[in-house]
Amino acid sequence: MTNKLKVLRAEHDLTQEDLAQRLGVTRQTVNAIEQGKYLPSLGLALKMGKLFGKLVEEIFGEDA
Amino acid sequence: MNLKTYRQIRVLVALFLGFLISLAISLDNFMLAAIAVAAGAAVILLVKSKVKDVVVDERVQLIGDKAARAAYSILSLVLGIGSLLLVLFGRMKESNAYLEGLGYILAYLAIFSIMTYSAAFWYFDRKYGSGGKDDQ
Repeated sequence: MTNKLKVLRAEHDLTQEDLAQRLGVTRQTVNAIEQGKYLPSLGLALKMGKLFGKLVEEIFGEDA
Repeated sequence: MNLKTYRQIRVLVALFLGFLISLAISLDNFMLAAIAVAAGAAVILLVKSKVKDVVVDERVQLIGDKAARAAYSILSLVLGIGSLLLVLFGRMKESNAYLEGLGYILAYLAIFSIMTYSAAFWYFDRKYGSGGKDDQ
């Protein structure tokens, strides 16, 4: 599973800490998602989509 | 209070608690150890309630679930094998009769651990929707 979280975060000029606070998770969780070590729950993925104005499938995708 | 300060206080409390429990053991004072543990737990709970940052999120909960499952598996296995070995060694010589008794205690602990896990699993399985009817 790949994701564009790091790119979207950079586009919105947010640090991992900022994003974590807005999502209500720890900074370590944001880092783990960006590195592909942790898959977020559906609720958290939807929250990310809402925050960045994207669909969940635009943020997360299967490996090519 | 932020997460960093909370973690620093937690380490300090743990160190102080370790010192007090060591002191209680060396003085053979059970009450000191009990009071230290209760006070330590109260301080941690109080400090945790003052933290504004997120302390536990879904990833931390997942890690906790996995750690608990691993700990349960290892503990049950060690208790089961340990109890079997102790009972066998205990029956080899009469002078080792206390080992057999200890083996039985460990065996009962293993059974209690497995029963507790099964009961908890059954409860959470029902809570999170198992056994629902097939809605056609």
